[in-house]
Amino acid sequence: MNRKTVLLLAVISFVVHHFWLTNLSLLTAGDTWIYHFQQSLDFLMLPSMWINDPAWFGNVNVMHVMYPLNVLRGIIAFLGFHFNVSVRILFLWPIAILSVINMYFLAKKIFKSHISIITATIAYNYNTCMLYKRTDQLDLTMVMMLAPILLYLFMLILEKRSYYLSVCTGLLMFIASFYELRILYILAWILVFYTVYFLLFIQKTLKPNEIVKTIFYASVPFILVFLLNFYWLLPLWKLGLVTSNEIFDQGLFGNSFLNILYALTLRQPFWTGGPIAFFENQPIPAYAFLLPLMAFIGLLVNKNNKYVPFFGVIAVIGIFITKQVGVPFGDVYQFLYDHLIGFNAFREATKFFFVTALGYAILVSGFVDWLWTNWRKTKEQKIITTVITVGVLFFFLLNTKPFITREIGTLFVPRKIAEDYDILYQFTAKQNDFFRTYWLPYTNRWGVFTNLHQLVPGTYPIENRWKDIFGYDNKNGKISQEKMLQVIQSPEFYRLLTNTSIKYIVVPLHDNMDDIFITRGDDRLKYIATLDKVPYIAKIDIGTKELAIYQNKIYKPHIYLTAEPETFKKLVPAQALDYKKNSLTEYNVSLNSISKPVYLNFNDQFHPDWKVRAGEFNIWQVYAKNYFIPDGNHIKNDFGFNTFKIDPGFIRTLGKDYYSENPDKSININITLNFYSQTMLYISSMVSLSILVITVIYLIVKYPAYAKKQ
Amino acid sequence: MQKNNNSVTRRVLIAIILLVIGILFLLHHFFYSDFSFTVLSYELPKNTISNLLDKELFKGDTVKGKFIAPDNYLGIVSIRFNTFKRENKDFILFRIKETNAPEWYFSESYRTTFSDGTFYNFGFAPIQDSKNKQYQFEITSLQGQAGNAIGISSDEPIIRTKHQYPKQILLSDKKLFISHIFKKIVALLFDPETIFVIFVIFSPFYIYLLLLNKNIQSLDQKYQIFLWLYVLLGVWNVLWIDRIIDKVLIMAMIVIAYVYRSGINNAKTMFVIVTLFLLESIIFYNYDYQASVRSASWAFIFLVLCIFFILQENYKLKK
Repeated sequence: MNRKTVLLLAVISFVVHHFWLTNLSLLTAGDTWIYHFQQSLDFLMLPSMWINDPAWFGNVNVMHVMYPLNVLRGIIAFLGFHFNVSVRILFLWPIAILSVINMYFLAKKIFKSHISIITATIAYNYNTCMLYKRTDQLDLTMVMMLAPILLYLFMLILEKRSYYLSVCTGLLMFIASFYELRILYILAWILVFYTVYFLLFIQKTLKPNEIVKTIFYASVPFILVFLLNFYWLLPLWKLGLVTSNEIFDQGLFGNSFLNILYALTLRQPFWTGGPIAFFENQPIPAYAFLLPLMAFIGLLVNKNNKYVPFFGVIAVIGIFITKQVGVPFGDVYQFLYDHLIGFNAFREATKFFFVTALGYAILVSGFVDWLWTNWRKTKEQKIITTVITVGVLFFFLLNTKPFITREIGTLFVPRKIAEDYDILYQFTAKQNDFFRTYWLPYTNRWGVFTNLHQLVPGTYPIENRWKDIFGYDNKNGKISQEKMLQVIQSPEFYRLLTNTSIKYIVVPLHDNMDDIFITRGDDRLKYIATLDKVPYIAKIDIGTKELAIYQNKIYKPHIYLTAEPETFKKLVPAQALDYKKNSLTEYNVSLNSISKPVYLNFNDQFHPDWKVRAGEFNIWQVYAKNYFIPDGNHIKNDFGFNTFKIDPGFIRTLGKDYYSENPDKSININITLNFYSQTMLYISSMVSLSILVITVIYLIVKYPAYAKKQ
Repeated sequence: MQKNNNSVTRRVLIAIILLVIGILFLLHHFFYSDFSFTVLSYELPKNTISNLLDKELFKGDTVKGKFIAPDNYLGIVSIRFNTFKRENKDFILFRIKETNAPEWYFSESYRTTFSDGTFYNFGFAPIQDSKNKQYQFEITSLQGQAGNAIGISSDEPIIRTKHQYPKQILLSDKKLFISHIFKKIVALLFDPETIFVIFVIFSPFYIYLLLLNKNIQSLDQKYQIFLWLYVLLGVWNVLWIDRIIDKVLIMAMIVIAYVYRSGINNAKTMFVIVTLFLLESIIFYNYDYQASVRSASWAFIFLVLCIFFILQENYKLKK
């Protein structure tokens, strides 16, 4: 690596990211959600197929792909560091470092000159689209930062046909996968296109054995990534949730924000040059149209370079996708969304901007490289070349101004948790029983949710799960405040609170950055005034100044017994139970003195994989025949939760090993409540872990030989 | 001599035909842009409408606006709608009154059969003494819901007022008549959209004159063909937005480009076209956003062709 080049790029990166690098203040904005200390510690657990998804009262862990990243968060918390440090270690500092080196090797391989390396690095990292991602979606940004390195390694694999490099690349792709699988998905397509390009335009031969060899080496990283991701792929595939789940099946979003103009000029639609104007399309300055011109001059003058046309191809692919449903051929995006496996993860196309950025970065650097190679013969040419180069660099560096001045806000201004939220957390943390807290109208980033004390985003269940109960048509968008005020005063709402283990209702504070009341157009005081009048809850004073907290005195536990099935029609009396939570997917429950059929209620979202075992439980025997009480006894109650009918008559037919009998002929049963797919998760996790260990050992053992060869 | 005369006649004839075609297109444009002599049109600033730009209007949502009428005989409020590129089956209620008036002057509901990005005229009986008076209006969605709602476009200008002077009044008052004519000419001369439409519509005519230049004629004929295609597409770009024509023309372009692929340095030719379309896109950007989008679309299509030719050339080299 050339020291001067790296030093220059490091200085630029330091200046742009100085706020991330020079202090440890709390940073959270947009999709970079805060993970509180206890929440981070909760991540340090064995992989779980079931999570406490606040919006759905528990859910299948469709985001289990992030398990390694969450474990890293947990480890950092275990070492005593809070979110402000973990976000820096896992995201901010790597992004600042990768901004220095991510294009270095790729540009050097294609053009050799240092000026092209500098141009490519600046063009890729400091265009408005890539900068915008730094203000919001750090997980996406991380993989976008890694993308050029992965592409470079992949190019080397095909040329050198090296197993070592293939395994290395596979491991790096695995890291990218648990940061943000969707960006890796896009990158995987780029690598597939490059393989085809390599066969047609670089390898120069179409002999079958050469094609097979190339495809073999190209597929090694993919196979490795597949096996390393087995830990979530297999169980989700068994549940039919790999390509179809609530994250994927949302419909397109933001069609009106994107079009060919933004795509062609690689211009983030909400970019103002100052604070971001979220969801407000900004005009494109005329000078932004120079970018496609510079890029395609770069393509023309380097058209005989064996690599450059490929970057022209991916640039036009990037442009075509990022215009979303705009002309020309606007139907194609919808078609891909409906039919191409995995593409339905992209309900809006801004995640593809990095593809255009990658193409443009190489093409623009090719333009500058050509100038420095061919246009420095006379004094005038040297002046013109220097002026154009400075102009090109300035074109991109100008975008960094709001980062340097920090007027961009978002992740470039420190945040502070209001004292009231701390008081609330301390108040709930002292309590050892399970309950939920209902945030009205919605949760914000300052609420702490742990596995024991979960949060409910107020309007969400009304707009979705309970919409039929309240006659709400969610096609009308977000529920209005007036309707919500009616809802919380209704007797149905009381029954829902009670049956969903909601102990507290919280009306959050106004926020100077992302105020939920401003976003929704709601009046905070109206909620408080209405809640004050609701008879079944009482306002409590826990020492907060403004945070309004109400207690629902009668709420049902997480697991309880009833004499009849739970119903919405009346309040069914609940009998508390002695139960032990082993994990989010396994609970031991003791049922004593059962003489007639009873109903075991588990207040998490209904899922057929929740099963009940009477007697001894062994997770490795769950696939045995009749291991669980038959599924016919598992019903979805009126609240959408799990109810199991426990019939002592049936338990007796299983044999005396399954219960103990009391003198009054009633029986005691030890029950295990288990999420069936968890076993599959353990098996697949062991496969992935084994592959990971073997991979790391291989890389360590083979490194001396590889280094020697180099 | 006879041959030269024929050639000159042919050139003059072609020039006249192109000029006549340009005039016909211009009349067509004026016919559809409320050129009516008696009507004066004024653009109002974007902040006339205070809320909900480019957002779907759901049932009950109301867009409000206030403006001071720039002239008398206010008879039309023209608003640019965003249909989110779909057919929306909603109804909207349009109401207008003088600010502080107790009752609405005009109130009517409309089906949302608007074209995307175009103006819709809300017409009412002209208000004779409207000049310098403040009016307020409201547009309320009656049935809008997510995925089936229109919005107000944020592309400027988003609102215009139109003032229709009765013919008798104009003819009976000489001073008013002269002032009206003057306003009409000024409005036309300073209407950027009209200027650019004229620029593009007559471009076949003056580019033809340009191509008669000997230096340009010495260029390869195929190069000229592409320039011609650019010009024709430019004209089409202003006049049509139909998506089927869109696709047919794109396909036609690809076929034509493929047929002439062996002409002089195709990649460079394509690049010239791309540059021209990009420039056109920049020029249109502030005046006709949709035309700018279409120009950029053409730039993109030619860009793809450009890359295709480069790949084809490279593939041949490898062989």
